[in-house]
This record gives sequence, C-alpha cells and structure tokens, in this order.
Amino acid sequence: MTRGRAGLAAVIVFAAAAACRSTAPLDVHTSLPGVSSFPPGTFTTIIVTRFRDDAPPPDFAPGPALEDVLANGLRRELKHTGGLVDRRRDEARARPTDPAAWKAAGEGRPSGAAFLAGAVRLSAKTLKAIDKKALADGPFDLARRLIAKRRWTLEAEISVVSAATGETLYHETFRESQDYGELDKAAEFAFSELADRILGRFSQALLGRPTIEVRTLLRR
Amino acid sequence: MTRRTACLLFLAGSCLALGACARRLSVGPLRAGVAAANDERWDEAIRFWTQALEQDPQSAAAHNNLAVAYEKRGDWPAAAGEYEEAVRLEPDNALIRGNYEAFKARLDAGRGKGS
Repeated sequence: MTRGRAGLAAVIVFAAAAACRSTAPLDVHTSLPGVSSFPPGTFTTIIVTRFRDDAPPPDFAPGPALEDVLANGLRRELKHTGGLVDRRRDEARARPTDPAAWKAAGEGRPSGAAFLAGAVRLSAKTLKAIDKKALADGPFDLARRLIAKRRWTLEAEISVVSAATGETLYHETFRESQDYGELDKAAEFAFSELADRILGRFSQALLGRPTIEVRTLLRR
Repeated sequence: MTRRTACLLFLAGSCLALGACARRLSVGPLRAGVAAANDERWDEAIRFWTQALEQDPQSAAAHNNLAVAYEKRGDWPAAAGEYEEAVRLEPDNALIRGNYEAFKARLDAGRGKGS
C-alpha cells in the first residue's frame, strides 16, 4: 500500500514537472511569405494586358498563353494578401514607354492597380552534333553518328506599369531554354515548362520568395 | 519508504500539480495560441493571443507572438508594431529581440537594403 502511494506521488511529481516545463519558449520553423522589393500596397490589383508575340510559331500563340500563365499564377500568389488579378486584352496598343497612354488607360482604376505588359517570343532550333560513342564503332554511316536535339527558347519581356501614374515600376527580360530529345516536341508542351519557370522568377521578383524561418513563441 | 514520507511526497506533488494548473489557467490563451500556431492554425493563434492581450495588455509574450503571426500573414506593419511594443515592455528579453532582429533583417534584405 505504502509502495503504491509512493508510486502515485512520483507520478504526480513528474506530471507537475512536465506541466512546468511546458512554459518554456517554443521555436517554430515556419514558412513566411516573401518580402516584395516594392512598398506594401503597390499591387492590390494587377491587370494583365495583351502581350505582343511578333513571330509566333505556326501552331501556337504564346502571347495569350503567357497571359494565362501570368494571370493564373499571380492570382494564386496574391490570394493570401487579398490582391486581385484582372485581364484586359484591349489595352494592348499602349507601350511601357508611353506613360501618358498607360495613365489614360488607368483612369478610374483603384489605387494600387498596375498593368502587366510586354512581349513574348517562343522559338526553336535543332542542334546537331557528332555522337562520339558511335564514332568508335567505325568511320562509316555518318547519319547514324549524328545526334540531334531540339532547343526551345521562351523570351518574355515583362513590364509592370503603375495605373495611377503610367510610370514603369519594373521591367525585366526573362529567357529560359530547354533541350528536348524529341525533335517533334509540341510547342505547347515546351512553352508550358518554360513559362512556369518564368512565372516563378517573375513572381519572386515581384512578390518575394517565401522562406523557412525560425521564430520563438513565448508561453509566459 | 515510510507511510509518512509517502504522504509528504503525495502532498508535495499535489501542490506542484495544482500550482501548475493554476498558472495554466492564467496564461491559458497564450499557451493555447502557441499550441495552435505549432499546429499551423495561425488564425486561431491570433484570436488566442488577442484574447491574452485583452486579459493582460502588458504581456510582452503576447505581443511577441502576435508579431510572429502577423509576419506569417505578410502583414509587415502590424508585425513591426507588435515587436516594437514587445521590446518596449521587455527590453532585456533576448528572445524577443532575436525575433525582432530577424524580422528586420529579412524585411531589409527583401527590400534591397540588406548588406
């Protein structure tokens, strides 16, 4: 009986000690949103306008496709801040270099609205090289010794223009390339991969990159 | 172990446990918020810490924790305000200062002011 009580007392003491220990500070590793290089509130609404695509491939229009990628991607990124993304294909003629035109287009827009504009170019070329492994088999049959791959390149010139002032707030040209063994790779598939990379780089520049940080939470 | 020793141990343990429970009641929202945040329920954590501040507006811990939660939301001005208040209330608290310094460094780096 006595031994039983002593055991019970020990359990209570341990429980009490555990309760006391739970007042210790707690380090949390948490993902914090990216810090934008722009002042807060600069982009409450982003209006994706028409992107120029002066030399599109015959079977694919990269301009509207890039607009879709940017609009959908930014919509996801801005969701947690309550930001909005709109599409305006009719404001295509204005150029980032023409502040007055952008300012006129921005009349009546809410404060913090910005236009996204620019140009896009999707191109491909076939690269050929001699396969050194095949060369070791013998000097004949040149066709078999050539290896070929298709290099797709997406170049996007993106500008962010203030709807209030027409001023260009940000301008950057992004270029992404990828080599494919399939020479008949569809332009749409190549575009999809390359545009995702450009979206990642652009949204990081615009909105910052989330990072894992350690912060201490206090319990008393 | 004698019966008397066992009784004394039992009483001591009970007192400790009751003391811990009483303290838990007074800092309930603070700790509940930490538990929620640790479980990635940050909105709930904010509600608990706001409640903790209603009970004790001078709680540096609640201000510090709220600052972290606002950082999580990306609300930098609110986070800065809470950190400043926490530091004002407990200027010698190294943990609060550590959080605040890390917050400021990240903000400066993101805005191109970092070294």
